[in-house]
Amino acid sequence: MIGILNKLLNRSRRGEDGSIVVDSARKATGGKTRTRVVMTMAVFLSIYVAITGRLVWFGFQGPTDSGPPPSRVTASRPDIVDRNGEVLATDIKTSSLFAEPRHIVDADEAIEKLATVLPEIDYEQTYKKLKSGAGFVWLQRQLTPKQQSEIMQLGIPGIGFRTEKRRFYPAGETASYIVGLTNIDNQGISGMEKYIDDQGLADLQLSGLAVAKDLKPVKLSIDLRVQHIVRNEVAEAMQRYHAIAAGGVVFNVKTGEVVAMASVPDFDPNNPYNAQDKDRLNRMSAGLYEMGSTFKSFTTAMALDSGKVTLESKFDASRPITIGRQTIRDFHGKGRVLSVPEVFIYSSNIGSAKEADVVGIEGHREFLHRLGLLEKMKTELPEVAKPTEPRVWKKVHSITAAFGHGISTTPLQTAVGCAALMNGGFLIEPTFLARTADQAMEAAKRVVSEKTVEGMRYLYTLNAEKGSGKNARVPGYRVGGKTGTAEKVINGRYSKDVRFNAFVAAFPMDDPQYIVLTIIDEPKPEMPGRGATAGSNAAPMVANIIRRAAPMLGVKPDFGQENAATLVSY
Amino acid sequence: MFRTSDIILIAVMVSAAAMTYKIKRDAEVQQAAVYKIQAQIRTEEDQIDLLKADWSLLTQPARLQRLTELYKDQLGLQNADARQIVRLEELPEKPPLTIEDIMAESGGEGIDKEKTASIAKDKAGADKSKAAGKAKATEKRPVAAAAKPKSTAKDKVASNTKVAVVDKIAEKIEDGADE
Repeated sequence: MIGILNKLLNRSRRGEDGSIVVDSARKATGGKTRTRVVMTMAVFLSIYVAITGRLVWFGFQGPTDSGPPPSRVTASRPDIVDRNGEVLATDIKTSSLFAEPRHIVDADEAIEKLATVLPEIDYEQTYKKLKSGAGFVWLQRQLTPKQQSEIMQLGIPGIGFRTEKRRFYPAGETASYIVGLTNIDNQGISGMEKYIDDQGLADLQLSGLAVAKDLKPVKLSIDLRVQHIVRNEVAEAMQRYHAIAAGGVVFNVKTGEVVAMASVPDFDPNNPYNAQDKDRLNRMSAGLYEMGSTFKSFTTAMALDSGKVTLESKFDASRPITIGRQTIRDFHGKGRVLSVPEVFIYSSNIGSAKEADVVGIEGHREFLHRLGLLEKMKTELPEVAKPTEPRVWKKVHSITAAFGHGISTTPLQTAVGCAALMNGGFLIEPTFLARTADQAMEAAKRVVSEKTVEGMRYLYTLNAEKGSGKNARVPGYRVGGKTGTAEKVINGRYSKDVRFNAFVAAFPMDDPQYIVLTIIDEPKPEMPGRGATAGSNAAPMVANIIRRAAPMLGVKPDFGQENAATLVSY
Repeated sequence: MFRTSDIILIAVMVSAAAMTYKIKRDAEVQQAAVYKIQAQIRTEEDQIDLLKADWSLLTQPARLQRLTELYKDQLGLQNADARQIVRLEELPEKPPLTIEDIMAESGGEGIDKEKTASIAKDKAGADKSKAAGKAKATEKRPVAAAAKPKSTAKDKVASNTKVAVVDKIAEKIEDGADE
């Protein structure tokens, strides 16, 4: 364009400098060509300027508020399934219907058509919405794909869909603490959901590579049926005994798999409005308790394992032990010399304290660490509490720890420790992912000898036959176990009425496969006049769980060995 | 000559253009079909996901427990007892089946019952027993007497299921009837 202008100017200059110019051609057209060209250019230029100006003006203008809000980027997550492939958590696509009232041609017709698919639609309200002249309104959230396709078939102008991925937990509260939760951006914030994110899914999602199809389902060690039974029994027990909380775990002693673990009160992961409440805590792995007499299992095992004590050894439990300001008494005092099995089945605090004394303070501490009872548990679940112990162990600590006071640990760890006393002496890290016995044994380490295990199996069986664990017996399944009735600390003192009860059981006792541990926090007697010790609440919980779950766990009932404990030659 | 080559070239050009257009058009149609199928696959997949979730919701142990408790009385449901669980080898051996037992417990409709069971297993056998059933209904006594001596010889095969035994008897009855 500039070149043409120059040419035009050159021509006119040449005419003015006095040289001979043949003017006739220009004259012939009346000398108007130049002006015409310039005028045309001006017109086009002005059009383009107007267009550019308008564009710039649009550029500065904010977008008009129509159309749906920007879509949330919800990342895909793998399904979580139980050991049998039952779905525990899955992504489902839901679509929500919106309308742009400005583009609606005929509101009445639109509503009438919509009502054929959505009969529950509110005519008046929808009509108001569609006539409001707003850029965008939601009409119905979370439609099924069928409804969506039917609405699409109606062909109504001015409406559209927005699909959203939503995490759905078919099992509801049954496995809520194990499966965990995701936040609104589909990121795991607790339980196994968080574990999955920490395993690299979060990075995968960030890089945009988390495609739903490529994500394999995560298989947990949980058996949904057993999980339901445990959750059901635990929830019923909490009501029956008017407790503030209860929990239970079923632990495979051979593979270290947690087959079921429940803690109440819990929450519904599909509507977790109360998940952050103070009492919503996975007490089995994140609750610290003084486990009480269940710890006598460890004291006895330690004494037997040291080699200084055999099942025939006797301890004088006739008089209370006084150390400093504290006096150690027996709850069911016999006031005589007791043998090791008697110390165990009568749950003698004095006897246990003397057993611990044989091993010594350092030995005691080392043994509890060896069983992993005072270490922070290593497992997939992020909600794990670190056990507490006295900074410096003195004699009084060893004595109280002998019957499970003065140190606190998590119930799950106690179950894992007991598993080591039952499975042949191997400490296996608990896992929530499916695992075989061989894989478990690779990482397992021996903590107690075979002989100790034999002795402990005998004591557990005996305690269920004759001792405090009678209520945990289930015909055919050879249950053995140990009760624990711990007094809770209220205002710095041990209370006589506020208790924390636990029962740890193993079955079948001829070759233990599973540990079942139940806890119940601050239980009251079922009926006035009845006791509220572990034998009367935690033990029946175990019995109910085993009775219902054992067939599913593949344990064969056997009625031939009902009196095995008395047959063992001791 | 000059014109012929021209015409040929033009014809080639036009046909090439037509062909290109046709191929392009076909490709577009195919593409559209592919998109449609892809969309269909996506909705199907979503639907499968949804149905799976639905299924697991319906088969929740918690729900099933609620239902069994609700219909306990109507359906006569009871909790399974440990004593009811036995291994296969623990089952007592079935006493050998004799022709008298079958005759005693069956009559006409007894055979009918067996017949419906055998239809699923073996059509041909079922047909035979049907024929036999008819034969039996008409002349009960003599046929039973004819079948008896033969079947005692075959008592060793008592481990066979009742259905099979019935079929065998049916065969024999047929034989007897023919004789």
